Amino acid sequence: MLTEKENTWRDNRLEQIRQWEQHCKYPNFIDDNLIWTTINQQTNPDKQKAFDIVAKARDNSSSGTMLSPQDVAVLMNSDDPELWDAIFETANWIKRHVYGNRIVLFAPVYVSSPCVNNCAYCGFRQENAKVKKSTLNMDELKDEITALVDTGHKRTILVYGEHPLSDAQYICQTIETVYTVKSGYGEIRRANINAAPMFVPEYKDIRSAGIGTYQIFQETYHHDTYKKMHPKGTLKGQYAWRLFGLHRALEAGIDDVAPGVLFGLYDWRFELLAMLYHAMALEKEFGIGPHTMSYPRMVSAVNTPLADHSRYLVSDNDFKKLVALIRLMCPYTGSILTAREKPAMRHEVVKIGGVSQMDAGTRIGVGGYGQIKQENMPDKQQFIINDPRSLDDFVLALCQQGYLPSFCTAGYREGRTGANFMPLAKQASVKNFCIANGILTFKEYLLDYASPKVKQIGNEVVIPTFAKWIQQNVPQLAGEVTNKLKMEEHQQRDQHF
Amino acid sequence: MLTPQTKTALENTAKNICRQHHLSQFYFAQSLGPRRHYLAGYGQQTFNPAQHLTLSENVVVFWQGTLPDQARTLIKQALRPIAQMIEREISMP
Repeated sequence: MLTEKENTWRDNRLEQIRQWEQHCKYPNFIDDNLIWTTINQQTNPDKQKAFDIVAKARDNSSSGTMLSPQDVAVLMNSDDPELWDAIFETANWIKRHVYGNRIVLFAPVYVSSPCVNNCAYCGFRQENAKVKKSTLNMDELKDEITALVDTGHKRTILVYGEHPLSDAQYICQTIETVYTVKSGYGEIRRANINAAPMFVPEYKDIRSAGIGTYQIFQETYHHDTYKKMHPKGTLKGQYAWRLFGLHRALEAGIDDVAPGVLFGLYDWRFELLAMLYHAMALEKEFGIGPHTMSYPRMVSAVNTPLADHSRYLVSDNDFKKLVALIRLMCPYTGSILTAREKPAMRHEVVKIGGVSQMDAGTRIGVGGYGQIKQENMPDKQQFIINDPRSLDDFVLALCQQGYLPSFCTAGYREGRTGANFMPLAKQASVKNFCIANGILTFKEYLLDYASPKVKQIGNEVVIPTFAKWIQQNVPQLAGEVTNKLKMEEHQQRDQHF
Repeated sequence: MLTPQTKTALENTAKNICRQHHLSQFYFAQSLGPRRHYLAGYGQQTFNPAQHLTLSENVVVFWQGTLPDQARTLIKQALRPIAQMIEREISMP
């Protein structure tokens, strides 16, 4: 039960949100009927037509052009194994073409879990008394960040419930606090945000604290399903308010925004096309598409039966397909695969899905990094994570698969944001910085945090391999990379381009 | 937030500086904590190490190419009124 104060806060805010929706200046870009019609018109697609679309997606990756919803519908309706092999191969090719063979690593920090909403799929829903909710104070947050950076992370996403205790002012305070934490060479250099949709002035305040990306998941774009999952009278029950949350963020000058879907609430094919329409709407209105796209698959949560019994749970095979299709349909976007997935699944999807970012060493209980050895604390978590490996174990696995583990946070500190970042990703040249900065940040990890096994493969195989790539592909940076590596060996840190 | 007119002025300024000093890229950014938030600029990324100069409390410029110390000093002086204009606009609610 909400307290009187919480009820008052929610009701006042709900009234303001409804007023905003009444005067919303943006047209609703999600037409359920149109999406289904598009999907249904492309059943039994012609094989050659499908292969031509795959070839087009490959070409598009040098210009940043997205596939059309019709094109994506053709691919998603195909059962041809030969075509899917081509799609998976192309997704991997596009990712390497745009970003290089690096994986950017991050870890989420759950800062607050109390929430005034009551979403059917969420362990943190207000009525779920079996999950204990808490909000970190600034000292607790510092401890949490210290524990996190002591593992080697430099990039985080801060996650908040929608609650008067975690309003915009609190979010600003936490961001500022996160950036003050130093532990040895450890620090957070980029804090992204996953929080409720805000009003423009609130976004402006959060922007001023110096965030990376603002992430809002629509969860489901299907109107009826959205209504069922998010009870009327709750803040999250307001579909349009959430749908245009990233539009308002862009209005406020936050120019790195990130949509996402919780796959398993409704048909994955519908959600995928809807996310494409979202990207198209952002492009049309602001000329800036999604900085990243997220596609968490619904997993178990304490006292949350829907998470295990939804009729739309996505199979492993369909999950692989949808991740690869995201890369083909929106070639420039960052693609985030999370620790909701099991290790084997993650390593398979990263090879065939065009994934560019992954979390590692993840703990999602509020205060979870302070108890790092405890993999899951179900009664304190929104859901259960399935890849609880340590950061070092995860890094080792990436190295063994030939990837460059990257802790890069350089782009947004060098003015490569929004309209200055998009051309680099769209023209597939951002990899030149990605690989150089990946080498330098991985070297820091090797010097400061890595186990002997990771040090060995990192220094003997990974760094030389990617340094050679720089020499061959961006020779103008090669000398500087070598110099900066030497500076790092002499205890200088945060070398970047 | 910058007005469209200011944005255009920054683009033109960046273009002139690029031409005058043979730079491949020059752009303005706003300091927001650790973030250097792109405002406007001109030119092409050449994947050389970028240099930067702080113009005022919240305004930074980045460039690619070689800019001798003397030119940096002149640019900083010349851009002072522009930095003040940017500061005024970004401080507006």
